[in-house]
Amino acid sequence: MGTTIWAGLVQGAIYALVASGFTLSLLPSGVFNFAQGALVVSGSYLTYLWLHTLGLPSVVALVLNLVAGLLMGVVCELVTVRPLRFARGVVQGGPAELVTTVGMATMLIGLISVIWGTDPLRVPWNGPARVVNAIGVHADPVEIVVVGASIVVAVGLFAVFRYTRMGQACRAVAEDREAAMLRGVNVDLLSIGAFACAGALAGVVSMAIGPVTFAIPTLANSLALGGFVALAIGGEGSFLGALGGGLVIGLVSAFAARYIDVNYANLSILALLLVTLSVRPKGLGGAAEARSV
Amino acid sequence: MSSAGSSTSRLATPAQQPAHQAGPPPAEIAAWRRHLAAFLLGRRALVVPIVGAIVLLLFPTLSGNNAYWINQLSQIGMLALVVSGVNLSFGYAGEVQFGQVFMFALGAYLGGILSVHGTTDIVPLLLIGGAAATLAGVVIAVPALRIGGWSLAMASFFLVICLPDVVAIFTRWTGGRNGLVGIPAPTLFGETLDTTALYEVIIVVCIVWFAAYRNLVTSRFGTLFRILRESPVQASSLGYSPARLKLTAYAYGAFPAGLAGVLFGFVGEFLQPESFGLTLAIGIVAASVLGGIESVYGVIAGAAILQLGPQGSLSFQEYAPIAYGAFLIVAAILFRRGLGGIGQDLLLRAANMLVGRRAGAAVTSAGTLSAHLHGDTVAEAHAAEGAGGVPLLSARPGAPLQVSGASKAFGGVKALDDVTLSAEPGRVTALIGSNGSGKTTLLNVICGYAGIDGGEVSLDGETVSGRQPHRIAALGVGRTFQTPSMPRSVSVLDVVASGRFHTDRCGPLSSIFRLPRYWRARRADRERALIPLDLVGLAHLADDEASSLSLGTRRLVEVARALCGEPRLLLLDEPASGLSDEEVERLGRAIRAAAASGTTVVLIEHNFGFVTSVSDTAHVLHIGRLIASGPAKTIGEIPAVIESYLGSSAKPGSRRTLVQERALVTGPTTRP
Amino acid sequence: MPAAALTLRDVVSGYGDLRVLRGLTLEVPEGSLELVLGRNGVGKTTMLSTIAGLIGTWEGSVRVGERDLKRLPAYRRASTGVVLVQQGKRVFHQLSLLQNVAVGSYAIKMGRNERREYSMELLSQFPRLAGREHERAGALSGGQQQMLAIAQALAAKPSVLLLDEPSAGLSPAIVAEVFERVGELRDSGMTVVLVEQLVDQALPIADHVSVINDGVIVTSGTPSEFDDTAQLQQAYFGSARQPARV
Repeated sequence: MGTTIWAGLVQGAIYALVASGFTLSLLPSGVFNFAQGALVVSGSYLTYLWLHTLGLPSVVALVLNLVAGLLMGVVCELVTVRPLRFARGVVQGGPAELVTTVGMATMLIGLISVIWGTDPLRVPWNGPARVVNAIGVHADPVEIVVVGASIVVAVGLFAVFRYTRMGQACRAVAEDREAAMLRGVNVDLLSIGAFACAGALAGVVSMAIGPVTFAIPTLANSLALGGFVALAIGGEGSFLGALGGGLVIGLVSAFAARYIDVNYANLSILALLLVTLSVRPKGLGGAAEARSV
Repeated sequence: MSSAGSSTSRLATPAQQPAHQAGPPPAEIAAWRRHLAAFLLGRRALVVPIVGAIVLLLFPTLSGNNAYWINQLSQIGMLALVVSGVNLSFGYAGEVQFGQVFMFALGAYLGGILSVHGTTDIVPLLLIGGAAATLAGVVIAVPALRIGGWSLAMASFFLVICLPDVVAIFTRWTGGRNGLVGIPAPTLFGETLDTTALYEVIIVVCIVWFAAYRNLVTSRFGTLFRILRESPVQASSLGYSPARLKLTAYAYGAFPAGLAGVLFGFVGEFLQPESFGLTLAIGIVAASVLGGIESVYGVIAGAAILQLGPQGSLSFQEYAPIAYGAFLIVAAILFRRGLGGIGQDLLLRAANMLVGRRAGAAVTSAGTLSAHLHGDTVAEAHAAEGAGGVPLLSARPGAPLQVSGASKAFGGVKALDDVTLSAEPGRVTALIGSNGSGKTTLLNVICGYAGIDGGEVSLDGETVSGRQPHRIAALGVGRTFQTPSMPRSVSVLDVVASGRFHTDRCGPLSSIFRLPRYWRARRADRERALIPLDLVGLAHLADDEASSLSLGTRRLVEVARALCGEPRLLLLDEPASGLSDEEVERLGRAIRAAAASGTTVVLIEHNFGFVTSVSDTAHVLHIGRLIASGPAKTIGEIPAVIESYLGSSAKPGSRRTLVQERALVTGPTTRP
Repeated sequence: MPAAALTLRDVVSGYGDLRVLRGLTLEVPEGSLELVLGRNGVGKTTMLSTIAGLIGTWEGSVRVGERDLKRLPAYRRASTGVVLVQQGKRVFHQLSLLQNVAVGSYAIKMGRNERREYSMELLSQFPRLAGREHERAGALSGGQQQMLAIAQALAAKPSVLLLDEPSAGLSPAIVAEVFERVGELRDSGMTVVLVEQLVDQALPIADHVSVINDGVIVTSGTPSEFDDTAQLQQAYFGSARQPARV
């Protein structure tokens, strides 16, 4: 029981971290960056490269991951979002961005497979290794870091977006891009900046996620989809909602796998998603404000 | 108007003159060029797919049973089937979804399991596979109708992730993750099919499906799907439920995936969940985008490129995903209209060049040029018939409209406050009032787009408030919108004809099989649409692309469309705004003609002169309340109307200062 | 006559292939209030969008003082003092009133606390908004939202304020209040371009009136010249427009 809860929380925290990245880039750009999952997996492989292959110290690896994630985020925006904006003026979540960001994810996965192959790689963890035993749960320190990070990231981003000038501008852009532009907000710069930050976030958290999940190319899409479900259940645009959504689906799938059958883990998530969206299309934490057209 | 009507004289109507003005080439060469251009764009271009189909059927003989190519072509055929289904939901109904793989897998496993445990006869298996996929398509579409957008795309993607789990749950039948082995060779009427024969079956299935698909999207359903994509509200104003239309698109889109699945099982003789993964799901959408989401034959090109390109080339297997991803990005950015669209542009350009027009000059739509070249332009035919005098609108008897005590609030603001009014058949009833006075809200309440908070709306004594918009429209309520949007790549005539679709139902099956009912409806559509189009003076634009029209012209097209449905109640929302004086006059003529034919007409308009000239009765709304009603001629003399609509301090020379003004308006309200 | 604060010369612009403005010329002197009238769809909003940079200037020039705005993206025009209040009370519903005003001052550099005080100070000038700084803007009534939209625009310290039908959908009392505030702004030296439908209530505060038809200014003059309703009607609907008679 305790073990199942803990496993669910860890899984959910990973989804929540991906979902936080989604929300971060979604708010000022209006684009759901499907490649976020691939960015996390890329980070895992880079961690493997720095720590295992090159034997660099963890701090250096952290900085390198951060910079690499930042750059990949910028590239993502420039390649998948910017050309469409240029072509059409304004983008708000059309099918074209979906195709381009899925394409970006596919490319990254392909690149990883070419470089590292498709077999799972064990990503080193240089942090504390002593398993913590409490209330019948064996928790790896890295797992505790993952769960902690998901909470810190979600709460932190929530606070940043609520209380800083930049964050408020992002929320303004999310609501009315044009009106925000008229108030002097450089929406294009915010969009790139947000993608860069989401990339950096993926790079940093992947140092803890990688050791838990191993580095597997095909994990990228599963992470993206899990993150999406977390986002959809928690309510688009809400960091705390994404955290809650992530933890809930982690728990639900862990319990389904443990008490029904392992094959029902994903199906239970799908069922949860469909039920949630049917009852509340905007998600549990979504803005309830109904406005007539 | 000339009364000459022979086919030869049609070819020489003025509309075609520009084609000859590019210089004085010898008449014969010019004729040849025209024929070639006509061939490129025309219905005779059907020759190309037919020849293609014959070549494909004969391919094994022609190539001496080239096994590699027979396999490749089989794969392309199956992929094309799956992709064409995506086009229906993605391209026409406008929803991205990755769930097509699920239907494909369903057909494959169902076919595989049945052939292992029961029959190997391919005909019933294909039917079962197709039917099961259709059913699944509908079941999956039900939540999709509620979700839509990103969420739908992702949820359907997630469905694909769940596929191996579903297969594993039914391991007893499906072989689980180890795969379903030992699928026997299929039989047809007792004969066992070898690889070549199976290939022939695949090609035949493709031919039959693509013919059906073409027939569906070139029928009124193509128009309806495009309208749906542009604006679900508009689809419902035509008497069609957007939800049902979407379900239709999903159901028909799932069917070929089921067929392809059954065939896939037999070609591979082995099924495993990995065959139906995310890569395929992405590839299907990629092929759809590349081929052109709105095109019929582009799908085949898209499928071929995908099969022969990233998926097929074994030597580059390792790099395939990278190429794939790059290709998706480039395709989505560059090929918005896909290969099909690009091909059509090229054909149009070539045809334009052949007949000596500058590309994109006078004629931009392939439909128009093709019609001109074939000498059967609707507009020309119409002109040739020389219908003299004012065209007569046929009409159903008008229905009296009664609005009693209607109230509606948005948030805390009362948009309608206890409004009671009526409109009589054969008369034009105007609704006037300043911006925000509730006119459009009242129209929306009547049509069912806005719920009613209190009171009721009845049509011909029957309460309609509370019903869904498409049901109200189907009762014979036609309307126009303040911002008329036109579906892309649909001709003006078809847009106008869409107004009468609900009065003369013709289902998708009739369209696919081109039953007599289809031809009857099609003929009636063309004939009936011309009458209102002529009435608003736009018959000459019948073959043009509707979305290329200016805003004012669109308004008139919308009015013609509403009239085409022979409405019992016609609601016009600011039809004259943005029209030139001459157009306003034609509009007035059309409105009077509608009323004369017995229709109940309700008109919202800002142009006061127009209102008084065209309407019989007028009602004035002010901040949600009805403040005056009376004959339209004298409504402008009522003081309350002058104050609210034309302005309060209307008397010349009596300038009040702002302070006085403010005291006046704030006077009655009590302040805390 | 004081120098022109805003000058549009032969401006052509529109959407896609559609030319809406067809060579519009308008000069607004500094510190004056220009009332722009016209029917729906003649190009009033397009003109404001062109000035604010939401849509490109195809031909002609848009100047603020001596500065040509043509190449300036919309977000940089706010910092040159050109601020548009769009139609439809477009405030940010999810943000609090204070945050709305803070976003309004985005283009101005200032410290965190300074911005907060500045925003509070600005809000306090609007009696209808006072004391509600931390409520979500979505919870406000229509009139309050319009006030907030104006407050938000003022936060950018505009030299040229563009108002697109600020009275739309408001009750008469609030309309009077809005116009009074607009009049005060002009009196304080701000240049204002006011697009309105409620002619009679806007006329008293206007310094000059222009009527747009078909993308060009067809008539202009002092408010007193537009006092006569018949004359106004004619200018409004275009003199050539005869009611259709069947």
